[in-house]
Amino acid sequence: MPVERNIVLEVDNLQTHFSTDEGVVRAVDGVSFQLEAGKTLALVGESGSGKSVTSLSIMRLLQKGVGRVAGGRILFEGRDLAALTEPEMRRVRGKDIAMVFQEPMTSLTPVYTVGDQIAEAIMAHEPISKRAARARAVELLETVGIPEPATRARAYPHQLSGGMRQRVMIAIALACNPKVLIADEPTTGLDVTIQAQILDLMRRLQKETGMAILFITHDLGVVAEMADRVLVMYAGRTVEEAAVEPLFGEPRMPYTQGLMASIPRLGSAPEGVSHPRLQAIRGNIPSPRNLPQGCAFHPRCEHASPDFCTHNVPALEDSGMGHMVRCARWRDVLQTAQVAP
Amino acid sequence: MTGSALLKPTDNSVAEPADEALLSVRNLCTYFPVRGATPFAPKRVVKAVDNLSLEVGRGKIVSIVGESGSGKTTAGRSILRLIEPTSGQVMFDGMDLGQLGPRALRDARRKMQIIFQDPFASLNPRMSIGGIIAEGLKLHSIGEGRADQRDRVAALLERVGLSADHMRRYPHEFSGGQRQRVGIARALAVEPDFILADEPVSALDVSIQAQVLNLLQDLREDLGLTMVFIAHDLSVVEYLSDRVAVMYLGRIMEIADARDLYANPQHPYTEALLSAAPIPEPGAARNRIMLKGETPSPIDPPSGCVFRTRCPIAGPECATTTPDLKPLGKGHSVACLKRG
Repeated sequence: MPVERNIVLEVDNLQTHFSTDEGVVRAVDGVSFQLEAGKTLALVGESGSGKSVTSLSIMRLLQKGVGRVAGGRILFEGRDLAALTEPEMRRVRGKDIAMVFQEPMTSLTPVYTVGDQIAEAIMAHEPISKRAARARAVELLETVGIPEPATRARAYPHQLSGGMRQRVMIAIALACNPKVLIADEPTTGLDVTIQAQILDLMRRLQKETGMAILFITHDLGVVAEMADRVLVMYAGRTVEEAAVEPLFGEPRMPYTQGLMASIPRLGSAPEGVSHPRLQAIRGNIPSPRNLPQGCAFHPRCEHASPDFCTHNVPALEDSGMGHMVRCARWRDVLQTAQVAP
Repeated sequence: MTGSALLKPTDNSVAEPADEALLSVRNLCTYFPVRGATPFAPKRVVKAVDNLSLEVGRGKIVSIVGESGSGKTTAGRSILRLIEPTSGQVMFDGMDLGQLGPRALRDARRKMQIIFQDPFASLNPRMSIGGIIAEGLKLHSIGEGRADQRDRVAALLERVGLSADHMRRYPHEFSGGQRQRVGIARALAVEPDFILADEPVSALDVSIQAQVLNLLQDLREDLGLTMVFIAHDLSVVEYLSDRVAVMYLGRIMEIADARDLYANPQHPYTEALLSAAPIPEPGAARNRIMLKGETPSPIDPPSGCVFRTRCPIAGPECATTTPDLKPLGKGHSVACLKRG
């Protein structure tokens, strides 16, 4: 390898199963990736793709007795997280790997001030006095761009707006200078003007701290702005993985292509067409409880062949330069795409 | 007769002239009283919708776009009188909705239906899909007998891309996108002229969102439906809209024909909204106008222009004068002292 890569987190063939009344559901089925220091990997997928379950598996936050990691390895700086005791894992969580969730209101407790909640996160991992921790909390609030941080530290979550609460969540996540930040739909539900601010903040903080970000989202616009590398998930499996430019420039899995085509893009309405249509992917997202045989995407795929795709799960293969694609027909698909305008 | 008659496309060649508005909203205001901090504190109001005027021509789609707290949802509901407006006038098909008594209003509402944002909360989990769709038919005594109503429900399900045998199933058996189709079928059941779509695709996955937007486009074309479409982001409504109104803190900042608004936005808030939308192209040039801060509380809006506290071009006059919508020609109006 020409360049030394600093891999902080490695997920290798992760299998996460949920036991339900209808049997075992394979929510994540053999997902692998490497996360590099200072870089952002985006996990993209729609409902039921397994992207959030992947992050909860890494953090060992799956609900006990319901979900479990059934196979694979999760290595943080070479240490297998599955082998850690719960107290050891607790030291990793929040300190080495921190997490930001979609719903800042449900992740913050309503009965403590935000300053106290940040201070608590610091004191959980560092031998530091309450006073010093509170002072750090105010500094952190300033870092994440909250005006009048000393006053806001005394506010309760309900007194802050959604954007402010997400900044507080980021402040808590950053409290112990984590090496990995897992951001699970951190801007979903925020207004676009506020989303722009939060994304900008995350980019700035990554530059300053060199942390790696695992960014989980359904929004390809956000991916294009944030990610260095992208992993597209569908029905629990990786279906495509590549650096951000080739993934957007030349998506190779028909699902990714369909997803790209179905986004409403500003200024893309065709001229002179009175009632234009978007390009939709036909059919519905399959339920993880009842996945189609063969390639999980074949019932919705325009390129599916009745001989192969309906019976066989294609392998994830390297289509060149590390552009991974899980499609038995990617060569034909690529040709069709190049012939068509 | 079967239910398919109601789904007969309208003949566009004999459509009403474009200038006749089916819905016309004039100076609509909806204010909510807020309790003061103490019992004797002066009474205050939140101006959720302040002086809203718009016209929706037959077969046209007008979108109201705004972020949280902009008043877009209250505006939609005030138009249908689901929320009683404080003042202003809503003319629908020649009737002044504000003057109608309860019975007349109910009859008028048959012609005006609503599609909700949350396909999980807006369908009764204890009713079958057939029952949900047929409810409006029963309420308004549409169709001759149960067999005819069942035929109508079957035709409606097929019209929205579901199948007739879904009738006996229950909402929990369906995905979000399918439920939203059920919601659309329910709205269409009573053969409305007008549909208020309140963020109908916000809760849906991208690949499904496109399907539902295309379905609405088909319905508008085939049935000649008129719609007000409420959305929080401009990209979703570009394909559908004939006109777009951008709201901020209860007021329309800018209103224009869709093509004109996207190509030639005049209000700094519209510009910011357009530039804040993430572009799905890595490395795309982003001349982003980053707005400072957040939307102020509607209880205590800024004086003068409500947008001035976040506006990149605000001047001292913006704190004292509230800009009215100024027509710039070609149906494009903007409420900004600095522009137009």
